[in-house]
Amino acid sequence: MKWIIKQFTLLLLALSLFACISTGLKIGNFDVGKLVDQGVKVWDANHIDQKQEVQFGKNMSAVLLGTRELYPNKNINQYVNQVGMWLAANSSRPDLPWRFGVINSSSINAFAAPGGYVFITLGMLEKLESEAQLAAVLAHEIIHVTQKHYLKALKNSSMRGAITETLFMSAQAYQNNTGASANDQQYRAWAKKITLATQDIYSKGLDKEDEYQADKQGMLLLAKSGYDAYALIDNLQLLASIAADDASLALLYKTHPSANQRLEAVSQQADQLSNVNGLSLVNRYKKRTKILISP
Amino acid sequence: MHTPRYCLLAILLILYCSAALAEQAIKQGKVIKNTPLLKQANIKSKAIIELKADEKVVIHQRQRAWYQVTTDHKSIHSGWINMLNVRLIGVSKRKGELGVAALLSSVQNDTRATTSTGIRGFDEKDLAKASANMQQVVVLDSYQVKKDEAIAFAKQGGLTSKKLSKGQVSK
Repeated sequence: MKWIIKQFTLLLLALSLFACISTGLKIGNFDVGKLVDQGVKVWDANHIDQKQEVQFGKNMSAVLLGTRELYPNKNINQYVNQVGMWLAANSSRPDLPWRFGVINSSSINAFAAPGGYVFITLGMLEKLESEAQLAAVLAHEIIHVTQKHYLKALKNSSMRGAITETLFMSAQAYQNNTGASANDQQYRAWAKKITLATQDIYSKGLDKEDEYQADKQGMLLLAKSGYDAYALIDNLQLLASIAADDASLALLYKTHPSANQRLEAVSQQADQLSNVNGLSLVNRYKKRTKILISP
Repeated sequence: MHTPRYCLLAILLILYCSAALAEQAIKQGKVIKNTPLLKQANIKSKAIIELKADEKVVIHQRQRAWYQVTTDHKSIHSGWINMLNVRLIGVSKRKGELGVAALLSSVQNDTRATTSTGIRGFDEKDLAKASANMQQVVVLDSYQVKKDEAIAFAKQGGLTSKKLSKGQVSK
């Protein structure tokens, strides 16, 4: 009988703790939220809702933009948003709060973050010749978002044990969750966790198969949106033609399969779209990107 | 004595013509595997000759997945080749961006995006030193475009949504 009572008490305690973790409650001075944050409950893909996903993307974007700021020209950023939003409207997740930005860097690269954040570098924009090529860069990144590739990468990351709900909270929510006073030290603790996770993800890159999927489905998204789907192959041809040791491509080559590998991987999809016509919009691209050096 | 002025004018004219030609620069490519040069941009088209791997071609234009090329043979052939069987050679700048054209663009007040001087790269070391910049996220928010605006923008460019068949989607 004693044994049964002991087991029942243990079960009740466990259930109480679980309830506190789920609801973010505090027991006296004992902050369950903090316990959660310290890694008692690590990240679980199935428990991330869209709101958390968007917040995580926002946090990651803040770190990206902490590396290099946006190109300071409203017109060019809005042009990239117009192209991106049209593609997003034709994607499988049109209702995400999509945002697109031009990062003021000479490197050739593009990035995405969960929840609908997509970036292209100025260096990449300068290499392109048509709106369809710009759309191809954005379409590839949009697929990373719609397929939740970055969330998957987090799950597989070596940092998995250190990944907690912090990543999916705003600085304000973190402060509220970790104590009564929102002091600078708490903000720094939040920022450190976000920064470490973001650095880890963007330095290691995504799974190769995810990159190939983003190319193939990116071509489909281009075709669905009325663009020339082969512009994506134009971009890969362009990358393949730049010397592999070119410094502007260093991070892109570290985190992606080679352009030649990607060209081989898209061949089947390219064949299947052989009868689909699309627009390149070369003139509109030239017209809208003329403003690049006059912010 | 107007001779030096005319000479200068002539030189400028030559430079301008070179720049105009550079604007229409054609790309060079290398065939990566033996492949037929076709009469038309269609897989069912008749082959003109078989191009060998490593052969150089001049690329004139692209039509869907096909490049229109001219061979470097003793007898010149022109036709179409699958773009995936070619790799571009040394294309790293936008057309008209090299040399004289870039020089003249400043004279013509062409504000094309050719200069990245002073703009820094973005590598792993930069990322490692980064910290969150929430103010820039606010700036990013200010550039956001609504779905309706994007639809109007697409319409203005002649873009329309298309439905693809199952056969057009690879696994």
